[in-house]
Amino acid sequence: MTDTSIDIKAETTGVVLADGARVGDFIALLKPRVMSLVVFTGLAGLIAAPGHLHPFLAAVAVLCIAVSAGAAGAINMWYDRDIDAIMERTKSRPLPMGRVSPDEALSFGVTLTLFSVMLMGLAVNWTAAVLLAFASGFYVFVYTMWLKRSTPHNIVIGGAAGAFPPMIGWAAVTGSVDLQSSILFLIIFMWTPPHFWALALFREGDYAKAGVPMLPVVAGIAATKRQMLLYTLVLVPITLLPSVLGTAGIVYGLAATLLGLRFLHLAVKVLRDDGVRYAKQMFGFSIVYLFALFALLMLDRAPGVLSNLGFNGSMQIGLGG
Amino acid sequence: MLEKEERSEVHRRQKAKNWTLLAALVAFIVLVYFVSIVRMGMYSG
Repeated sequence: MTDTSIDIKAETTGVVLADGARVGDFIALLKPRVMSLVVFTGLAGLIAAPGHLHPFLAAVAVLCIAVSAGAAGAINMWYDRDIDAIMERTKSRPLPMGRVSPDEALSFGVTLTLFSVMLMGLAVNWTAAVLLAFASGFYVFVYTMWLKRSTPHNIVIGGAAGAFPPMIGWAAVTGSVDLQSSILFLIIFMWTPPHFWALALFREGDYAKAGVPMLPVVAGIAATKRQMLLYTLVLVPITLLPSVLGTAGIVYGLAATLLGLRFLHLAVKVLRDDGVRYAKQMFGFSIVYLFALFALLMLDRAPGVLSNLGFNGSMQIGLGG
Repeated sequence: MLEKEERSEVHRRQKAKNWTLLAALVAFIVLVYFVSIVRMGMYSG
């Protein structure tokens, strides 16, 4: 860094710029909260997959998924810095606050993306690396740069980017993409719209102010609530497929049914609610729901680890031996 | 006086970032080293 760049007061805002950034600001660029869900679902894909991967390489695979997701988040923050400065939820991020310069954020994101994809390819396998690169590219180019500001279905199609981690984890072990890992992808893909629309319902004003065409802003609250229920109705049976296809045991299936019914119940409550109280509740539960589903998937991975522990006898009788 | 304090704060932050970058690079080298060992072990077994 040059001495001139140390002389750093923003003329207009008076906030400290670029070189005043703390290490914590760069960590904030990686969206650690989003990263935790990505890491968790990626790990679930890795554990649920049939086969064996050396524990050290498995840890490297999870690290690559985490870093790549964080890097895509940094590039997203670079591109969205104008609207982030308008929205309450995002205006304290490092870029709108002027603590990190746009160039630094972009180069940080691109460098980490390249490192994580290359490391995944060299350390684990190239199928997982290609999927990782595709997921990052999809999030940055398709969701952030194209869909987010142009269509109310931004989150439906863009949600695919967040659905890749379990598929990547799975590919890290098997080296392939198959039906079972596609179902894990589909679970997150169908979960994303009701999750984000629940948030958008009580942040509607924020999105409207920033000109982001989220569904409640464009189609209205009632239409959004109907869409949330429809997606939830499709999601719940899909969450049972891992049990049907043998990716997980019967305990996963039973728990997924109960959790799904609760999610559906909340979607109905949201539909009937005049305000946004249940939308907040549904948003909170949606996070617990996804965490619980993938935690159960890991615990009851094929051939049904949990199921064989406590339910062995009764289930064999129940299923006709 | 204030400018001097700000300047030293900026230098302090810059130093912290430099050390973090060094730590990240060293960690990456160590990581690649162990990845190589593990992968060579897989093929020799």
